[in-house]
Amino acid sequence: MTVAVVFATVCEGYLGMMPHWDLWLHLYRGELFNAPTGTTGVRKPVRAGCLNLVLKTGKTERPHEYIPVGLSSNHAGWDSQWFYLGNDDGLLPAYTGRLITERPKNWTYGVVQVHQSWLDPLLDALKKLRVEGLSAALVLSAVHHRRILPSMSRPLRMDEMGPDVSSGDLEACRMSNEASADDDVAARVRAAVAGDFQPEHVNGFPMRPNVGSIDLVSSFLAYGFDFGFPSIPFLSLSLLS
Amino acid sequence: MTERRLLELEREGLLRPRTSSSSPEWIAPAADHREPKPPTGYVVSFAKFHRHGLGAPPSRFMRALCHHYGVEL
Repeated sequence: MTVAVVFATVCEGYLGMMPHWDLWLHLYRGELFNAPTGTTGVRKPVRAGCLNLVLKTGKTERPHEYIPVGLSSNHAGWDSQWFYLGNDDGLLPAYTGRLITERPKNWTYGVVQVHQSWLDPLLDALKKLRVEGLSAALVLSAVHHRRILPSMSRPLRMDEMGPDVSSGDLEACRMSNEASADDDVAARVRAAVAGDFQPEHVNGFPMRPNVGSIDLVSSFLAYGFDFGFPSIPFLSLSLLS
Repeated sequence: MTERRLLELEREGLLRPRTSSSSPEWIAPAADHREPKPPTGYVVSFAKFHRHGLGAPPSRFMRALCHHYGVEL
């Protein structure tokens, strides 16, 4: 969940576009998690948490193209804390409880060749963010500081949450009317990513359009885009059309 | 997962408040539900997911992830 949330936030809050599917496929692959059984070499499929989203960092892949994402490894017992969530209009796959026993081929799909060069301006922009010091911890702190849930449908993209938009739309994006204390934000960040994130670093790398956010427009202009990067289709999966 | 803990998530702004008694936004599992048996119109979610940024209704990207990888929450 954390890697998807960070990616969506990087796209919206720092690159100024909807989460980009080709960029996702370029950076991440899926791996199947099987639980140990207690017998050496024998593992069993799991009903919850079978999909591990893994950053492609191997020597044969594309190292150092993304910001640092070191996740917390302390998630013991998370799968026992389940409940029932309303499935608005059936947008999420219905629960069946099925087990996935083999990794499907498409979990490791990358970008189709013809789209690869389209990613160049985005990879350049990611490089700039990385060089400037953006990390998953700073991304998550900006998320909690702004009181949004990145994977929730919202009327505004994160980079659109400026002073000129309607207060109603802003309220619909925020999960709380009151700002969280920096101590609480830092604790949430530490629960999600590795490291000792401190309250004084909360929102240390602001999202657009906040004061202090990094300007990447010039990166896109170098490639002939007039603003942002909205011209590439987000996703062509027919089931989502 | 108890209703009290889900209410804590709601108070923290990590879960939508319940606005309807007939079709609430979330339901705590009954005590005899050892395995998930979601009512029609509900899926199984985890408190940790919401602490890490999952929101409802899900964004297009979140829906795309579930459909592409063929996984439920």
